[in-house]
Amino acid sequence: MKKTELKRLKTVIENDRLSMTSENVALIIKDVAAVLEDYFALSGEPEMKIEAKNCEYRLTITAKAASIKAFSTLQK
Amino acid sequence: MTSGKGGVGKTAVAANLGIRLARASKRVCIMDADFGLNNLDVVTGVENLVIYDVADCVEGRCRAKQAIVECPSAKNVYILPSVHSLAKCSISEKGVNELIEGLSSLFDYIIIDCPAGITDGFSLAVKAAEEALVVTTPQLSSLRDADKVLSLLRGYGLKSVRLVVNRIRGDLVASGEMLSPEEIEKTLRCRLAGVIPEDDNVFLRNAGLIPSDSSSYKAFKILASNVATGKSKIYDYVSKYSGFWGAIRRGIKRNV
Repeated sequence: MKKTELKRLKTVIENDRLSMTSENVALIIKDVAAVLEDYFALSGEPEMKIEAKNCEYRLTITAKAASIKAFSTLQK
Repeated sequence: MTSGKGGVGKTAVAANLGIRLARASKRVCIMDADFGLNNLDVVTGVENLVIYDVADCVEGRCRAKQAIVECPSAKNVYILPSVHSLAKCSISEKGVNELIEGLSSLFDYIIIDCPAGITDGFSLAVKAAEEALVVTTPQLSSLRDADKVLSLLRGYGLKSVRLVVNRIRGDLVASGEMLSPEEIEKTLRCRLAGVIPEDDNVFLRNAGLIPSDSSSYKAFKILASNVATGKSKIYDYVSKYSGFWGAIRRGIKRNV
């Protein structure tokens, strides 16, 4: 009975957490775009998909870029 | 002291925690932030001693020291009653913050008993606070609301946010019928501050009058110690229901 109850709790919480407001999603996408813009000339806004399973969340972020900006890393 | 869901025992936990802290030589003020549906005064037995309330302080009709009422069952515990009228009153965030700041030099702890829900009263209370205790019971509906409150609290930059699991039934946890506080802590990803067992004494008596041999008395003592020190020692709610004699006790409890 407890296993069922625990599983039910996890499912309810996951579903509640998944239903982010559009403002929250927009905020995350804005931050992601800002980071990506440092390296790519983005052609459009990135998209984000969140899937939940067993209290773990898989994030898939898709973005399109027209070109890759020139950058390199400093040697230590 | 918040919860999301109503009826989980926030006010009882706030009152008893405050009294336990006072008995450890702290000066405590417990503020009822439930404007309109107040009951902290009743739970602490000061309902006939209230003259002024939070609204009177914020709107300048009295000083805070005139509004606070000493709890008759506990020295060094003062109650700041809430607005008792259902008539609309505007209690501003600025007013509450100034009130709390004014009181903070007089007390070691100011416990703000939040209203249920996550609307204006909740926001007002959280913005005035440094730490939060989220009270929940092991029921699914309460845990779900606690999880939502925890998500909201993360955005307020509080020093600490911890969980209090109230009304735990050791017999049901031992028999696998109820979630344990440890499972709740893991699922909600929030550290436990305390576990309070189901105890008729909390329901039947005013805060501060719980007998010293009762399970909840010991649990509140541990909770107060955890709040004061930041530790997470947990009341042993299950050992008397484990093993052979525990099974006998569970059987008796079920059949009574």
